[in-house]
Amino acid sequence: MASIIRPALLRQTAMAAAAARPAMRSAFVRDAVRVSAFHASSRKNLLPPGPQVIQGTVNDPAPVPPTSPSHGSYHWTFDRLIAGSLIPLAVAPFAAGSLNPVMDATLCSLLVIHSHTGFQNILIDYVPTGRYPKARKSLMWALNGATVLVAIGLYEFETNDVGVTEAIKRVWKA
Amino acid sequence: MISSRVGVSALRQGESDLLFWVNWEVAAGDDGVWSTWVSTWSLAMRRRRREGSPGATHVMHRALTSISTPAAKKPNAAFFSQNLPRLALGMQTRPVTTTKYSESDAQSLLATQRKSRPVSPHLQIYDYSQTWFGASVWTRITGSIFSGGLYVFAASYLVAPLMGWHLESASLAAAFGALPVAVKGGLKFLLAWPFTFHSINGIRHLTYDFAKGFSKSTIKTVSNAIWASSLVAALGLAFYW
Repeated sequence: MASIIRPALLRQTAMAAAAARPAMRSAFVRDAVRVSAFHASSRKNLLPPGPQVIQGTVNDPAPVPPTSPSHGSYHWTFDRLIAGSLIPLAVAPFAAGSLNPVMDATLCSLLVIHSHTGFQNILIDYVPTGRYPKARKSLMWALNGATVLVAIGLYEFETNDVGVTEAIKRVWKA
Repeated sequence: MISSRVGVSALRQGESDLLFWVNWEVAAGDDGVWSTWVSTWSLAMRRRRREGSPGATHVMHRALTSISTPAAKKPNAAFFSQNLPRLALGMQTRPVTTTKYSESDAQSLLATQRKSRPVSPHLQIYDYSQTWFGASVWTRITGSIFSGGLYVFAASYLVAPLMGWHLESASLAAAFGALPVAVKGGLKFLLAWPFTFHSINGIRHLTYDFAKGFSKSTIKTVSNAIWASSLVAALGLAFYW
């Protein structure tokens, strides 16, 4: 095809696209359900999308939070150290039959820390500050309170009862 | 991204000037569907003949001004007169129109688009042939079961004297021992499997943290091994321990 003809064809194509555009936009805004049909995967969300917070204009990148090792890499390494040190403590009772009080108390303390940071991670992931600032704050404080109660409860159990590993063993073999 | 024109880039190659001029438009497409397309795309190649011929920037400038003139919205109007200089240079052109959105329109469009995305946590958007079977979310879920149980038990144990509950190990063991054997075995398996899976998959993810075992074949092999070993270990704990 001679190059002199091509612009005319392309012009027609561009015009067709341009003519269709205003209607499309309003349809898009009106009908969000049809938008989802475009997505390859069905959206079976466990949680609702939540309120959308857009900082700046739509062309601005997501803000990068200031670096903080105690909330970042140190916290991450600490999490892994706790998780890693739970491996021998979880295996030991199976080998030894039970744990002595000191080891049992260590296991309980590590389990409480492991659970606490695990729940924190869940809240950080699923209750983002940008969308639910109040819920995030109150849930974090509720978690702190619950962890304190649990720590006291486990202390009571450890000092008044037979210890967690021994108790599990007795129930298991009952 | 939305209704933004991006990019004019000029590339020079050796003797000849190669000028790329690409306008991207991301906008709401047909039937309210998001689509991305190159709304116009002009590629001009010309050979620089001598010093003093219009430089690359000059051509680009002309191209862009033609876009923003009202005539560009009605390509019929002044198409040839406007493009004659470029046609004379042997360039191919396509007229472009863009839709200008107001700030609030763009924000609501982006918000609508975001709302139609999958929301974390999600279990079904992942590829089964990738990390789904050994996904970290299963470790999180099984861990949450045990941590939740620990929290409920420890808090209940703390308030048990006030409420008159008997949560001492002796009464728990007696209560559990009174159950039928099949129920005991079933309950033990329902506790043992999340425990073994959480432990083994947890160790697997600690190895991920050392950036090891990410090849696709390894991921498949290990996730099979995790499921097999956790099930066997759980059966052993439930019925033979």
